[in-house]
Order: sequence, then C-alpha cells, then structure tokens
Amino acid sequence: MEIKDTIVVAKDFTPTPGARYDSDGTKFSGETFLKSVLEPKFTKAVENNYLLKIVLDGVMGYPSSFVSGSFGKLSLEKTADKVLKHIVFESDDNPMRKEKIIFEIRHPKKK
Amino acid sequence: MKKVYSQDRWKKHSNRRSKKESRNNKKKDGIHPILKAYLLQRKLYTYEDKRDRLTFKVLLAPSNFSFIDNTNKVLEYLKESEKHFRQNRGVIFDKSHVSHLTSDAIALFIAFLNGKNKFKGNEPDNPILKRLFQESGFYDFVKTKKSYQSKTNSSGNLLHRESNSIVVPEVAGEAVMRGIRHTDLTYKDTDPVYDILIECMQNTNNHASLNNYGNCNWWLYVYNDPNEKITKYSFVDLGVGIFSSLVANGLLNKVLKKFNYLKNIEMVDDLLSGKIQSRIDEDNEIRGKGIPQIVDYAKTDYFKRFFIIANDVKIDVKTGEKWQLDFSMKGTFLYWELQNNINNNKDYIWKLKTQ
Repeated sequence: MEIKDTIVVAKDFTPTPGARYDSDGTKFSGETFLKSVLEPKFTKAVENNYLLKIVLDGVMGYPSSFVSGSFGKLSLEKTADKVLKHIVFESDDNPMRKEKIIFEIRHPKKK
Repeated sequence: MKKVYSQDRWKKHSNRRSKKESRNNKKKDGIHPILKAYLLQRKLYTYEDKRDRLTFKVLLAPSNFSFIDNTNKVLEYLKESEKHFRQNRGVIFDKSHVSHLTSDAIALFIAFLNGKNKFKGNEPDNPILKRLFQESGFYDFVKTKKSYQSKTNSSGNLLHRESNSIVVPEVAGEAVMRGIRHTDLTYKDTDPVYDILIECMQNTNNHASLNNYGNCNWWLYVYNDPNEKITKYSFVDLGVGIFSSLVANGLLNKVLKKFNYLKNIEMVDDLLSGKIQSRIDEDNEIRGKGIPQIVDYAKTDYFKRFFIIANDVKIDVKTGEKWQLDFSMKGTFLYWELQNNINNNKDYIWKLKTQ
C-alpha cells in the first residue's frame, strides 16, 4: 500500500499534547486530536485504501492519557488490525514513542 | 473662629505659654523631642508585638525542613499550625534556626498557605538557605511587607500555581525545558518528565474532590540545584489525595475500605500496577495507565530519586519501599530529581512492558 497522506503531529496539531479530554481543561487533548485530525484522515485512508503516515517527532512527549484518548480509542472503535493496516509511524528522535503508541493500539484496554 | 484668637495679644500669650511648657518638659525628663518621639514609637511597636504574641502562636519549624527526608516532622508542623488556624488564631512560622531546607518543603509550604492570611514568618538565618527561600518565588504568592521580597533566581527555577484550566501543556513544556537545559540533556530526552507532568495534572482532576472533579489547585516547583546538575521537581495538589479517591479492588476490599478497615498502605501495590484507579465512570476500561507509566519512568536512570506522598503513605517509587506516616496529608505530593546519567536508557519502558 502506498503512503498518500501524512500527519506531522507537531505542525498539524501541537508540539505539546495534553491529557485525555477537553473537559480536563486542555486545548490539546487526545479527544481533540482524534476528532479533528486523526479520525478524518484515517477514514479517508481506509476508504481509498492507502497508508497514512504519522510523524511523531518535534513534540515534548506523548502522555499515556493522550495516547489512550486518541490512538487507543481509535483502536477500540475500528479494531487494532485495521488501524495498523492503514497507519505507519515515523519517529527519528525517539523510537520508543512509536513502540509505545503501537503497544497502545494493540492493547487499548488496561490489563 | 473667635476674634480673640486672631489678636496679637493672644498670640504673644500663646507663644509665652508654649515656650514655658517646653522648658518645663525638658526639665522633667531631659530627653530631646526627636529621641522622645522615637522611643514612643518603639514603645508602641513593642506593644503591638506583645499583642501579636497573644493572638499569634509562634511555631518553630523543624530544623531539618525537608518534606521528603523528614516527612513526619514537617507534617506534624503543618498539622499543628492548622489547629491554630481552625481556632481563628494566627501563626508565626519561625524558620530562623532551620539548618536544612529543601525545595520540596518550600513547595508544600506555599501550597499549604494558600488561602490563609493570618500568618507571619521569617527567613532562615543561614545565608544559603535564606537565598534558596527568597529565590523560590514564595513572596509572589503571599502578602508581604516590603522588607520581604522575592529575589530573581539565577538558576532558572519555576514556581507555578494553577487553578483554572487543570491540564496546562505549555507549563509542562516550560518546566521540562528548564530541567533539560540545567542537566545538559537533549530535546530527545523530554518525554519522561513531560509525560509525568501531564499525568500529574490530569490526576489532580481525578483526585480533586470526591463529588466535584476538576476543582482543585495544583502547584509545580522546578528547582535547578546550583551545586549539581540535578533538577528537582515538586508537584503538589491539595485535593482529597490519591487514596481517598481510589476504588478498592475486589468485593472484600471494597467493604473493608468502606468501613475503614483497609489501610491505604495495603493498596499501594495495586495502585502502582494500575489494578485500581480513581472513581471515574467514563471510559473506565481504557483508564488507569497514568500511574503505571509514572512508575515505569521513575525506575529509569533519568531519575535519581522519585517519591509519592499521599494521605498517610509515603512511597519510594524507584525501590517500591513504602512507609505508613504518623500524620496524614490531605492531598498528593510527587517529587523527583532529574539527572543526566550516562546510563540513561533510551529503551526505558516499553520493552519492559511488552516482555
């Protein structure tokens, strides 16, 4: 499958991701990222059968509540296999970010 | 005005009496009028001071004024002052004799004094500790006389109080960068402290109140130790404390907790492993990963020390050691020391988790 779309989190969303919900008082919650950036682009990628690349560099970090509220929720709604079939991650600064998010997609529910 | 007061005759009479009075006064005590005024002022000051002593209670701070290293004594000190505040009496916090003062105690002290106004205090006599106290920004958060002012800190410390928006990523980012610069780490090392700070802020939302989520102040103090390349972070939230907001695991424990038979210290292991969480109803199945993430990070070489103090329990997160405290703290306190260790392990946690 070909990569036809890209999300650079630092540019397309924020360099300082927040917590889980808007109601936590943060502008850059996982919920906002899911609704405004991730889900629309993911849906397009599935419909047109291409790969969506997500660049994780240039941000301060990926708090677990942010990851769970965005990638975890997407995985719960669309299944982990479908998400990982249409999304690839790039993280040159810190490869552990990539592993952390893929782990969350595979295990969205707590143990 | 009566006509008589404007006549020359009256003025001459008045002058004569005034001079005579002045001569008589000098004869009486032989004190110069300026000196006399000064002494009178001192007398009044002493009187005011004496009156203060009747309505204010002087409390001597523990000489080891460190919340992490002398937790029980510091909690006892604050409990004692709380007792006087409840009786509507003021407190004079005497820190003059303090021989050991740490940034964590200052952070807790500032948070504790929030909303209280009937208190006075002094600074440590020790010049190094005095400077630490002055540079903390303490005076920006309390009403003070002009003689007590915050001094600009040269080490890039940060003291922040938040009460409106609960999770503030910009503040977390700023706090991370201050530590990264001081410890000579790089932009690739921002994740641990940033992720921990966001989780701390998010947790204040959950532990703020049992009935009203999100109505809680938190304080963050970032202290760059001038003597070593270590940044000390203190995060305080004075909500109900983690343990008061936990839902115990299993029916038996729930019943025991309900009737106060389950000690907080007995829930530590389940808390740290994410088996129990706060009483939040929404998305329960995907919650509960924040504290385990903090624990995983704490065990890496990025952190020299890492403690959580909540309610009546103190936890050394690096070693898993825990202590039952003699006094309870209403709230949650997290403290960690960021270091630049050659062994900083980039593979820190997720490999451990997936094993």
